[in-house]
Amino acid sequence: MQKRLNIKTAAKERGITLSSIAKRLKMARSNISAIAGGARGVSLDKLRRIADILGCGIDELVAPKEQHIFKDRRLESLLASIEERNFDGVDKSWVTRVMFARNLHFKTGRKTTKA
Amino acid sequence: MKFKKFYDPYAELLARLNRLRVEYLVVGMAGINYYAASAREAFATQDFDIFVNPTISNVHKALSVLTKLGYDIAVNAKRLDKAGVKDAVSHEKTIVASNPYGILFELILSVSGYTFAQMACDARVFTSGKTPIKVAQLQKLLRSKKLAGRKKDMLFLERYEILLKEQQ
Repeated sequence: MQKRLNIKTAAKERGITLSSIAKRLKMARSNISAIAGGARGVSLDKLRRIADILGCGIDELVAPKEQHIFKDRRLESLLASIEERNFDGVDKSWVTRVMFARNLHFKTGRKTTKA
Repeated sequence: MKFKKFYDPYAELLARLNRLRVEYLVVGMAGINYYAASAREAFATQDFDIFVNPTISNVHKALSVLTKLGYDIAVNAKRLDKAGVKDAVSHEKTIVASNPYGILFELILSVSGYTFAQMACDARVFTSGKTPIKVAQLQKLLRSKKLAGRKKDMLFLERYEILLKEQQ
């Protein structure tokens, strides 16, 4: 199974059309669309050339599309506000203390090597 | 009322990783706990997950810290030797470090959905006293769990969703 690539999104963000990418690669536009949609495979070399045209890394093209974590979109904004509250430099020394105290209480350690 | 000074093995390890300039991020449940508002919201977890930049030199530095602290280091339940480090890095295997007191660290060399650089670029830097602690972004931690799609991760996300709804 081929993987859908983020070529269309990356091109749109940069104001580049798929036709112009196809032209530079001397390919048919339909082939580029098929590669972007995952209907057609692509060699690493060609993928690198597409990334060069778009001025991005290959990782941006193959990274999974950002998906919602929760169905309820309001929770996503709540997550953002939690991140805002927890800015750089906040003292969080209590976190590891709590985790350690709980581990001592429940003694949940497990062996890492077989006897 | 006087309290005894509390030895914190997690903070100790993170301080030493900083000192050796190991490239790391706290991830997993431990990472998510850093975003909790109080101990009541923190989740219990057996292990402390540390995502280390998966280069051989970086992993060696992290392992030297763990060894000096007396941790037993293993991969797939087999003691890790020098040759094993290269194999663990190339196959992105999880390295487990534990001590006789049940303290357990997992050195993770890959996470679902993100490279180390993608996680590190917008990581938070909290502090524990004077020690800076690098923790991956909350939304990335949760999204990575969703992408991993393991049963325990999906169950955790359901619990976390309930927690968030209580806060609304």
